Amino acid sequence: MTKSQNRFATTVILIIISGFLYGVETFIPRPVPFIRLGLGNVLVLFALINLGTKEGFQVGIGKSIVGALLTGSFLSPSLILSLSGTISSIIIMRALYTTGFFGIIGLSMAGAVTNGVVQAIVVSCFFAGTYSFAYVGRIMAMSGLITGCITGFITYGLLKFIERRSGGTEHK
Amino acid sequence: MFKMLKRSGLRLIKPADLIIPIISLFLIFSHHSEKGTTIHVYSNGKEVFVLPLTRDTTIEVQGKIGKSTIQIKQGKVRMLHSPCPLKLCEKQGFISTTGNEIICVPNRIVIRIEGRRDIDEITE
Repeated sequence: MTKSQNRFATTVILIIISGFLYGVETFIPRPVPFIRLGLGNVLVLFALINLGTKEGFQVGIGKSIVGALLTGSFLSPSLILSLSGTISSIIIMRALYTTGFFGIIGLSMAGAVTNGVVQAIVVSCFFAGTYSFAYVGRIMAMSGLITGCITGFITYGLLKFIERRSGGTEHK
Repeated sequence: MFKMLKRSGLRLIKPADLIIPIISLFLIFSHHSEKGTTIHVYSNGKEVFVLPLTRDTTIEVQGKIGKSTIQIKQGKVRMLHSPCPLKLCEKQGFISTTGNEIICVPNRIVIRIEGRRDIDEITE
């Protein structure tokens, strides 16, 4: 396989796994409806770091679409929510990654918080009503800090694991 | 194909990471203490009153089991009298910050405080 084919295959695998994780997470009972761990974000961050910006966006958008198809919410408001959250979090993570000052936990936390806050903004703009923005946004940002920390650790573990497996025989 | 962690300069955690929780916690808690500008009173899910917090007044709202009295005083609002059995809404006392609510479940009354800059503040 050429390098670009290899890259494409990896992206597709990442999309499928992250979409699957997204779908599975939906079925795990949660204390509060809008809090989720965001394991899909692990693979988005992985793609951003290892493959590039374009692949990061592909994995993020693909994750939302595959996840929505799995949970039966395709073309529903929840797809718009997850897409807006994912895209904005990728933009932020990419920008912070470029600066080089941030570690993986920092990137992951920033992504999770952005995701939550943007979703809260979108909810209050388009589906206004039941919950006030200030309330939801605060819960989302708080939970984003914690879940971002956890997914950051997992991402680091994944990067370490891949590094050890590909041990030295790195493709140029 | 996969970047080596060491060469890419990525580490699990770097000092700059602290900035992110600090900024977000600051945003979370600074927003909290914002003074509201209006109160919205809902009875049985319907909005029945919208009043400014600046003018002192007392109003009566017909709820499911009786009349509740709501008092606005010096930019704060409270449930003065309520026909409900536990009087939890009365015990909550005065509230004044955006997003805060007094909810009287038996009488189906909700008082919510809103500020004019509620949404704009975070998006800016």
